[in-house]
Amino acid sequence: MDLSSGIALAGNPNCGKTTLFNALTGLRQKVANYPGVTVEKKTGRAELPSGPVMVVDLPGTYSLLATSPDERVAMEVLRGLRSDTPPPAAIVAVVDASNLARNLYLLSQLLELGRPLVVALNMTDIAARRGQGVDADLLARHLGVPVIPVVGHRRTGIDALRNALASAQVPTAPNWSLPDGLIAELEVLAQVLRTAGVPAPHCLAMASRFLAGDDAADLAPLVARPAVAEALEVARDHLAACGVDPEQTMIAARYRWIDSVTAACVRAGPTMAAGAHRTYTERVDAVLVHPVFGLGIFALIMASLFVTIFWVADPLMGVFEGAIAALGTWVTSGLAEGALKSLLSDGVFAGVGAVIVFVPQIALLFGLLAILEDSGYLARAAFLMDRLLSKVGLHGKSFIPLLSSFACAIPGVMAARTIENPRERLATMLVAPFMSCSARLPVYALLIGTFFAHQGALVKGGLVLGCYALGVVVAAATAYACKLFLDRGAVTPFILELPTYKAPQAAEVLRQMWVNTTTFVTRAGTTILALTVILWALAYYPRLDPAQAAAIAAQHASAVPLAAEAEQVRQGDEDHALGQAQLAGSYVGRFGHTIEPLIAPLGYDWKMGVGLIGAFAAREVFVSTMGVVYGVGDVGDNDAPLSVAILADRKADGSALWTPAVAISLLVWFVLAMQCLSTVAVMRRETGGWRWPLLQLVYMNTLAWIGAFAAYHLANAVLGT
Amino acid sequence: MSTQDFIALAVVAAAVLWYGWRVWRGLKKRTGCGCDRCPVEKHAGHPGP
Amino acid sequence: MTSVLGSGAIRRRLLEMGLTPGIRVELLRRAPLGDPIELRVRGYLLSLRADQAALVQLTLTAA
Repeated sequence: MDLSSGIALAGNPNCGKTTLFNALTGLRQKVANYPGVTVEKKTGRAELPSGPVMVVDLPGTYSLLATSPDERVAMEVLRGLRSDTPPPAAIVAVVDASNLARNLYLLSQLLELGRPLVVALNMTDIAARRGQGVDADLLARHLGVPVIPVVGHRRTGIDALRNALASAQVPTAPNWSLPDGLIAELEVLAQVLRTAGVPAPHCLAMASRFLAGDDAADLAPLVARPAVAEALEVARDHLAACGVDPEQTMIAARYRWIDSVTAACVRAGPTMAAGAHRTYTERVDAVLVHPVFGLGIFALIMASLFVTIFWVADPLMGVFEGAIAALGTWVTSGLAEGALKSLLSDGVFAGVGAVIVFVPQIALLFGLLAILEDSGYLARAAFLMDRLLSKVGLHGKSFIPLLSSFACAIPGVMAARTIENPRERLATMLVAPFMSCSARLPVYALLIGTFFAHQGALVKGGLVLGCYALGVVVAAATAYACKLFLDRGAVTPFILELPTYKAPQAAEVLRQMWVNTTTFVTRAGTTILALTVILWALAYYPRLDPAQAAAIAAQHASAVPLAAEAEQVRQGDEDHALGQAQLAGSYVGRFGHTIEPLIAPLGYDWKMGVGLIGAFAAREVFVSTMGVVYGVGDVGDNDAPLSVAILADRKADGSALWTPAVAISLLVWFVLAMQCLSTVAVMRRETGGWRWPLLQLVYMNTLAWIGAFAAYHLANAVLGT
Repeated sequence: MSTQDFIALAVVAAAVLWYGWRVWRGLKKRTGCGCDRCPVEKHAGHPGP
Repeated sequence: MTSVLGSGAIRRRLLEMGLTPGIRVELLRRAPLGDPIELRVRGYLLSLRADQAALVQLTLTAA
């Protein structure tokens, strides 16, 4: 059969659709957007016996009567209502065998679409383990379509699936028994539709859709006709008068059919009997989602996440640092002193290199998060968080956008589109940037790693957790303020399915780790590189006046020839002084000095100021700026790592420039400040105006200034200068 | 201005142009985030309505 | 359970998720602070806000 317009994978969320998609398409995948919505469009190419075919992995949905943008897109693609995606030539209905009843509900709707269909019965291993084995052949006979058992993550059954697709047929829709009163009304309505021009075979089905409350786009032109609208109204009134609710009745009828099918095809084991035996998932949940301890365990898990990151990544970082330094020296070894050499060694290697060394931390963070997600734990976290979130005026559905914001606030802000209540949506978007994004991680790691180097992983991990926690606490307070000052709006539902726990799949975890880490590195190699190069130029030019240089050299000259060691020290001092003078006179230096009064109360000097300004383009640039500044600011071939250079820097009076108090102040600044201008741009797009993004910008940065100020002075008082 | 200066400044100019183009493209785009690539994959367990 | 009250999309979604009249529903737990609650229905775990769960009319049977 002709599969040229592609096939679609449809199914409930969490049914293993994506794993199956990966098994079919391998790495030949592409992720884009459906035009007009923030719904991900995943397509790929699969090899079937008949040749290559395009596969679309539709968003998970529980029903073709959509209640969110995701589900609406899935429905529209299946009904051929999207101009950007042709209706599929065949549908693969992915059904979770361990959850058969609810999965069959969507299947019952898919069977009515009139397209060739094949059922992929997934997760048969889990079902078998729970004593709910499904007889695939019997199921196929009841449904009238081929049922292929697969185990997605073990890649079994994929070939059988491919073969079945090649010969897929249009199924006959099953019959569910409806009460006579309802059938009568349906027939009347179908007649009206017939006169309105709907082809005869489709009238009854369409009438059912109308009474079921379907609002898909293809029904709209029909209901716009007065005859149809009136007939619909009449039907509803008649049914209401008889005490029949069409929606409930039709859904219940489907489930009666589903129950008969499951009763026949599922080999009930001990777990099905009377619900007495608790499954593995529920036993684990009893602990992890415990009414009292659940939150504590969650905090503990998050804390261990961060501690692990530092503990494992620290030694790796040292390796990276050494490698980059060596590479830098090697690349520039042939060049004479001059602009290009400086650009490469002080700009590129010192600058971007300072960011790249954090790859171990980033990779580990994403890896561990992927493990948590794949195992199913994150859904429990959403469950735990919901009450807290609603107390501050956010929605349970805010959890996912806010969680996304821990990677980058931009997709988080866009994901807030799934929240119907405008006030909850706005509050979610406003506080999303407080969730410390992955760009802040190099800054945290640099500051904590430098100033608390001797403290061990426990303290360092704890400090990072503290940074994240600070962001969350301030976000909660801000959301609460929104709740108090903004208009309430309607309550929205929170219904969440808790998937069964499963061992995280190594392949999936590694894949996620890979994708996220390469994104980080790509960003470093492009945006941050460009910004660092620009920054380097602003630090390197204008060149120090030769007369001035000579004067400094004279200052550091020694009247008598010195011993080798003393000479090295003298030369080092001279180089340092020259570097500082160059820096002070450069564009960067002049600008930095201009803004210094603004940030001096926070304990910062002009160099940090420059770093903060650079961070507005990308937060990691703070780190690379420090790299450049300390690279350019030291004329000799000194290849000390950034942290050493930072600790060695002195104020005019000889005291340390960077103190732990300064570090803490900077940390607080970075937690609270809104610096990502791209986020401002996205906020403007999502809120349709400048009011909210500008308010957010001013609010967050003012808060950051105050917070950093308080932190600096508090830390000073506690720690001593 | 030596050769080295010249090359270095050419690189800087390229960086400025490239970044400017990226910013412009990010402002023009209606969908997507304007970052290099979204660092976020779909998270588990979609809520219902 | 007996029936689902209310109207509109929430109600329909609750029905579609399997909370149909006559089905057995088991209350497993409440989250810390009491809300949301976790139910077992038709063999899977569902979490609902307490105010939505209030729409679901149940007849209590002994466990």
